[in-house]
Order: sequence, then structure tokens, then C-alpha cells
Amino acid sequence: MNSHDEIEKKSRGIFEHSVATLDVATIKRLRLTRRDALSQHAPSRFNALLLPASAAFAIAVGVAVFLPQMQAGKAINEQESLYISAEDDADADMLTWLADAPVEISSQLRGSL
Amino acid sequence: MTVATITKMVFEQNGSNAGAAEEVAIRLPATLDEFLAGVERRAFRIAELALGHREDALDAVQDTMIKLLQYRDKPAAEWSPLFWSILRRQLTDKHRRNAVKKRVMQFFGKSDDQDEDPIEALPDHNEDPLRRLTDDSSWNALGKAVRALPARQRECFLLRELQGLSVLETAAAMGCSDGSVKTHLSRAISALRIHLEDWQ
Repeated sequence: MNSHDEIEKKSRGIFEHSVATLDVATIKRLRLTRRDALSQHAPSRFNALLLPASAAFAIAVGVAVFLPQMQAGKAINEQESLYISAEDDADADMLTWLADAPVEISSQLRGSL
Repeated sequence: MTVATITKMVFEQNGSNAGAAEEVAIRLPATLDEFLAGVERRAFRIAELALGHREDALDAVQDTMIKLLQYRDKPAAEWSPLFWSILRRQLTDKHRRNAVKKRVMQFFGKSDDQDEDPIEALPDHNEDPLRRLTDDSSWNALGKAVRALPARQRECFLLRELQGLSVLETAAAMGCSDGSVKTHLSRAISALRIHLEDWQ
């Protein structure tokens, strides 16, 4: 066995022995440390509810802000369509009048025909 | 406790059987609590060897546990390489901080060894004092020799040789190639042979 192997073997032996014979106080400290670490990152009930609650709040704010705007927009659209239909009616009336109007052919036009 | 088994392909890198795969069943921890319970003692001893200070070692292990919890959603197979990688970084940071602290303390003419709790250092009455003395002297000699190594060699020796990670796992934890791991390890053992002359 060469000296490299001896050093490796002895170091490993000492290390394993030290792990196996770790004192009770340190074992307790490590256990407490682990529990503390895990409890710090445990998802709390508050955190679990936070995401859905904030999503619901955002939706409510969105509805409260945009719904009146949408309704106002709709009212404007309706008014515009009323104007458009009124204009359409005027055009229709004019076309009817034109169709019914007596056709007078001027003397010049008659001559050219 | 649920036992999950994964199949790990181990390729022999040397010799005529290159490319031959061997199936190894690895038992994975079901929960992070179980995983941490399984590694905490070894991690503490490694940190203690690297830092030479019990409280610093406990702090390093605690910080490593807290940081690992950020990766709790990762598959259980990834916890081990992540844990050792985080611990390695913690040890490097604490080494740097201790070096600065030591320089500052020296500047003000104070010793850094005074903050160890004397009650914690008291011997356990249930164990054989002679055996404890022998164990302690070997442990202290190993710690002193390990701390005298350059940072990369020390990390490599602790992870590969003492923790027993594979070359690839050590390389992943250290963020270097497997060739570098072999070089660092060989140099570390050569240096330790000089430091621990009386072991031979």
C-alpha cells in the first residue's frame, strides 16, 4: 500500500469516526437548525391565500375601472349609430323625392337629342 | 417512507469496457427533511474541518439548509449536488470573512480564538478520556492539515475523499472539469502526506 492510500484511508477513518461519535449537544443543535430552516420556508396559510386573494382583488379593480368606461363607450356608439341612421333616412327621403320629381328637359338638351 | 429508485447509468471511463453501463439503484429521500437529516452530521463535520470553528460550522450548515430550501421543488436526485455545492460556497465565503476578521483583530492586537464557548468545550463524562484525547489529536491534526491546503485542493479533498462524492459530482459542486478534480485531489493528498508525516 502506498502512502497516498494510507493518508486517504486514515483521513476517511477519522472522519467517519467523528461523524459517528458526534456529541449529543451538537446533534440537538443540528436538529433544531434543520427544524428552524424548514419552518422558515414552510408555506404559511397566509401565503397560500395571498395569491388567490390578490388575483381576485386585481379582477375586482379591473371590473370597477373598466366597466363604467365600457358602458360609456357603448352609449356613445349608440348615439353615433342614431345619427348615422338619421342621415341614412334623410338620404333615402331625398332619393325618393328625386325619383318622384318631374323630369324637365331643357330646350338645349332637347335640341342635342 | 417512500423509496424511489432511479436508474443511474455509470459509464466506465477507463479500460476496455468503455461505454459499458451498469445499473445502480439509488435510494432517494422522500422529503427534504429526511434528506437534510441524512446529511447534516457529515456536513457539520466537513464544515468544522474546513473552518476549524464549531459555531462557524453550525452557521454554515444552517445557511446551506436555508438556501437549499429555495430549490425544494427540484427533483430529489438534485438535492445532494445542490447541497454540497451551496455548502462549498458557504465555506469559501466564511473563509474569506474569517481571514479579513483575523487581519482586523490582529491590527487591534486581539486574538480571534476567544469567542469559543468554554462550556461547549468541556469533555463528556461518559466517554473514555484517553480515547477522546487520541481521537481529538488525530482530528485536530487532520483539521490543521486540511486548513493549510489551498482552497480548491481543500474543497476537492473534503468533497471527493471525505464526503465520498464521485468525480463528476465533485466537479459539478466545484464548478470545474473532472480532470481538474483529479489534479486538485492528487496535489491535496501529496500536501497532506507532508503535513501528516507521523501518520505513515
